[in-house]
Formats: sequence, structure tokens, C-alpha cells
Amino acid sequence: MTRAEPLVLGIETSCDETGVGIVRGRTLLTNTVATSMDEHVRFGGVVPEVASRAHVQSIGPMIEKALADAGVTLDDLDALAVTAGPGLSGALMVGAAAAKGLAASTGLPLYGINHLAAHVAVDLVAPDSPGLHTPTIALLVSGGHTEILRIGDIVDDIELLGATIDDAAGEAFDKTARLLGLDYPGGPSISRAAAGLLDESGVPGDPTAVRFPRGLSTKKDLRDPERRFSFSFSGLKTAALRTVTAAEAAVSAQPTGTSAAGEASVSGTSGAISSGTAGASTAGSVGALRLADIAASFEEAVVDVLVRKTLLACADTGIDHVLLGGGVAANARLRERLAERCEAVGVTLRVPPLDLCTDNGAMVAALGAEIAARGSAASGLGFGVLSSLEVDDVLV
Amino acid sequence: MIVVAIDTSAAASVALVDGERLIADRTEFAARRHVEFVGPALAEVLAEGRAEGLVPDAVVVGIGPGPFTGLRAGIAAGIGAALGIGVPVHGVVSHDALALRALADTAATGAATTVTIATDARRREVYATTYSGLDDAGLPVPASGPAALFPADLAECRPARRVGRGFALYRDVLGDPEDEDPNALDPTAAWLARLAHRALSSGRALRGTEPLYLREPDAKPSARRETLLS
Repeated sequence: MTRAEPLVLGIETSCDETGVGIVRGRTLLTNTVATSMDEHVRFGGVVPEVASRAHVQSIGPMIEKALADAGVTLDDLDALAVTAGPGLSGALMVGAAAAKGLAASTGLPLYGINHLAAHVAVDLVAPDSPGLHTPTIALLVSGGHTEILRIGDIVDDIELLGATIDDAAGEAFDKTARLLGLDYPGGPSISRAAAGLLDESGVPGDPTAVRFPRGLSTKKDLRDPERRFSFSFSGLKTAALRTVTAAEAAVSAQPTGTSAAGEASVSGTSGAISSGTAGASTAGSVGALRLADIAASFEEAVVDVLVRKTLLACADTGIDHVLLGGGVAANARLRERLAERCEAVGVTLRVPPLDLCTDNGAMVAALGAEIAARGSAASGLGFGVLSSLEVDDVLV
Repeated sequence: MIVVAIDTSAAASVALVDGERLIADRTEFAARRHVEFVGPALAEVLAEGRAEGLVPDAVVVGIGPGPFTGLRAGIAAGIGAALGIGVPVHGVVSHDALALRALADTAATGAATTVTIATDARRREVYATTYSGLDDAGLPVPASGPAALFPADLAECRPARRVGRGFALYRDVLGDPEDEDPNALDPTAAWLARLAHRALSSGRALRGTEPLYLREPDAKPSARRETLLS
């Protein structure tokens, strides 16, 4: 189908958000989302079965709500789009099956599309955007993804430059938050702790208090094309565990609160603590490590490596534009640091509105509309979902 | 009633009926790819109906029990199809379809009216439901279950009539199923659709589309860690 401004309904169920969005060409009509996040809190992370159960309850009502919000009917639509991967396969299946039910009963063309490409395509319809700027480097960071992409064209030219080889950045935040006794989702909890908002001191933690490891960032790593843009957060997680354990041991070893210099110093390759930590703790011990310090140092380590590798990608490709997407775009420290570093080297940073950065159906509809407008053939009804769909497979 | 039914609790099955008459049917036994199957099957079944000028009055989905991931594919497809056609979507316990098939002609054959359905619940268990016969609308009347049981526990109930793949899987413990036809081993959409037709045309309310899980998610809540740090 070729229509300048196709009316497309997009469905996204790759993780814990049941999203349905509707766009007309490059105009966003609605972005309707139900989340099962609260149901995952007691597990400390997204449980695929819990997410899938929520999707099958929400998908019908969300489709109806999106149509009502946009003031359109199914008869008005030109096409349907759905996330075919990557994501949690049981969760993806709910959205894909619902989309196929809609397509089979209406005869509308259905596009099975790539979740990562959709995170970038969302800027086609962002109300505050003049459109998607290409070429661009895209940094996608969430609980399930940590990728650097080169986007020459949103449909025909996407290249994965690097991705995490273990945990996603958001997952690292979640796991470390749990270690620190903080709530899921971990990112916002760690940011609040780092800002000193959890110990009622209001004194921000010292991001240099603990020198946490920067994964895959040695000179040797950066020389290796396979590792240059790759991420690893598992070492950071282990270092956080060692640091917390040692700092807690230090606390319990000094019940009176009097502390000798170096009391809390932690040996080891990854958790060396600088002396003279700023901010006296309420216990009155000088030099003891605060939870805020660990949180701030951890956040700094994650942000540092994300920002550094993104700008490396700009330098290597000669691309002077960066788009940030994914739920971790909500991290203020990441946005600030990325903005500073981009500005310093003359790179433009674009961060779509936060509700379009997290998983949503509008991004799926946006990419679907772009593909439909270019006249690409629909996916048919026989496709399967792919939990590890490659990013250059924009359309299945 | 013109009813389109989807059941992916064991087989993957889509069917359209006009009253008791089967118009179109796509069924894949031992199905593994429910999401791949359901789109084309649904499109073909609806097209065969359209060729006869038949538009569904309702969509029904089998709500299990059955393996969750495949089960949800059929339910979600049914939810989407109902929105697309503009008709209500209902849920039916998938075992009801096997029970109706087994009980449909008991009046003529004089076979016992108490029948036990057992299907594969994986993890060395079966999902079992016992029915006591048909009511005046011709609908199976559940007497106990559905429940996830160890085969040995079901065997203690000494089922009078044994229907479903659960018996084929645990023959040594449970005894052979009375009928080895694949249509008698797994719930099929054709019988689900007939059942929905009987229920809806006699004014009975059907369930919603929430799957019959019978088991909690495996994940264990994580104990909240307390830190000594302040």
C-alpha cells in the first residue's frame, strides 16, 4: 500500500508494557499504555509469565481505548503493526496473536516490525520533533537493552555497532538496587539514593567515592572492533556486591561509631575507595561509605561508559547527531552527562519525550506507517515472534 | 448462531459453525507454533464463512487449562478477531469441548454419562475435569475440576469413561483412553464452537477470556535485602 499519510495502529508487548498507539503518517494521535510494573516489584524484576498474564488481560481494552482516544474506528485504518521482536517471547506472542486476529478479521495489512528500530522511529511522530534526523547514532538503554546503533535510514540502513554482552544497563540498576535494599525499578531508586534523598540528609553522594570498573573500556578493549562499542555490566555488579559487603562489614565492626582512617577501605581490583569521603554520616563516622556514595558511584560508572562509547561511535562514523531512547533515558545523570559531552564536541543530542522513550505502541505505529508509506509488502499472517530479532531485520 | 472458535490449549484449532453444522475447520494436532498457525487459519476459516455469506455472531476462545504460552496465543487472537468483526468474545473451558464430543450421542448409544477428561499438564501432571452428563440445553455439566493432578491421584478416582490425551500419556497408571482419534484426545475448536452456539442460543452466559491457569507463576518473590549502610 502506498499512501502519503497512512493511518496505522501499532501494538507493543515485548516486555511489561501493553502499548497501543495510533498515528496518521507522521502525526501521533494516541499513545495508550498499560503497565504491569507494579506486579513485578515483589520479584525485583520483570517476570515473563507475570508480564504475559497482564498482556492478555490488557490487550483488548487497550486497543479499544486507543481507538476511542484517537477518535477513529478500525474501518478507518490503513494498516496494523506489531512488535515481532526482540523481547520476551511469551509476551511478544500476545501482541502478535492479537494483531493477527485483528488483521485476519479486517483484512488490513499487518507489519511485524523490530522493537529497536521502533525506539528510533518514534521521533518521526514525537510532537516536539521536526522529524527523525538521519544519519544518527542511537543509544538505546532499558531494562532489556543496551545498544549503540548507526541509523542511515530507519527502514533500509540500520547497523548494530555494539550491545551489552551480559546484563542490560537497566538490569544492572535493578540488581544493584536490590543489593542496596532499594525498590524496583532500580534506576529511579539508585538516582534518589545518589541524590541523598533516601537518608534524609539531602546531601548528594560522592560519585568518585568508589572507583567502580568501566566494562570493556580498557585501551585493549577499545582497540578491538568487537568490543569497542560493546558493554558489560556484570563486573560492575560484582564489584558493587564486594563494595557493599565490605562497607557493611566495616559498619558492623565499629559499633561505637568511632572510625580510624581507612576503616571502610576495601581492597580488590574493582572497589578501591578513595579516602576522605565527603559528607559525614549520621553515625558520626568520618570516612565511612554512605549508601548515597555507592549509589552515586555506581550510577556514574554506568553513565560514564554509556556516554563514552556513544561519543566514540560519533567520532568513528563522523555522525554528529545522537538519539537517546529506552527507559533509562529517564536517568537525569545520563541525560546531563550525554548533553554535556555532546555539546563539547559539537554533536546534537535528541531525547524524545519520556513517554515515547519507554516501550509504547506509538513507536510501533510510527515505524509501521513509515514502512507502509514506502509501499513495502506486509508481513502476512504466518510470521513468528523472535526473542532475539536482529536490528537490521526492521520488517519480518 | 454463527460462531468462530479458537482453541490452542493443546492442539491449535480454529473453526466456524452455523448452529451445529461445521462450516470450516483448521486443526493442527501436536502443534508447536501456535502464533504462526493462528493468523492464516483464522483468515481462511473466516473467508470460507464469507463465501457462504456467514458472518460470526460471536467469537469464543478456549481458556484452557493448557500450557500457558500457546493458550494465550489463541485467546489473544480471539480478542483481536472479535474487535475486528465487531462482536463479543467469550471464554469456554477447553475440557468442555472434549466432554461435549464424548457426551453428544449418549442418548442414542446408552453410554455412561459420567466422563472424565484428562489432558497434558506437563510436569508429570494432568489437567482433569469430570462431567456428570448434559443439561437440558445440551451443555456438559462439570462435577469436579478442572484441576492439575498427579496421574496416581486421578487413578484413585477410578474414572468411568476416560477421554483425552492425559490417559494416552499415562496409560500404565490411568488406563487407555476410550477413543484414540486425535479429535477425542485434544480439545478442538469445532466442538468449542458448537458448545458456545448451544449456550448462547439458550441464553446462557459464558465466561470471560481470562485463562484458566490453575498454577501460579514459578517466580518466587525476592526477599527484600536490608543493608547496614545509611
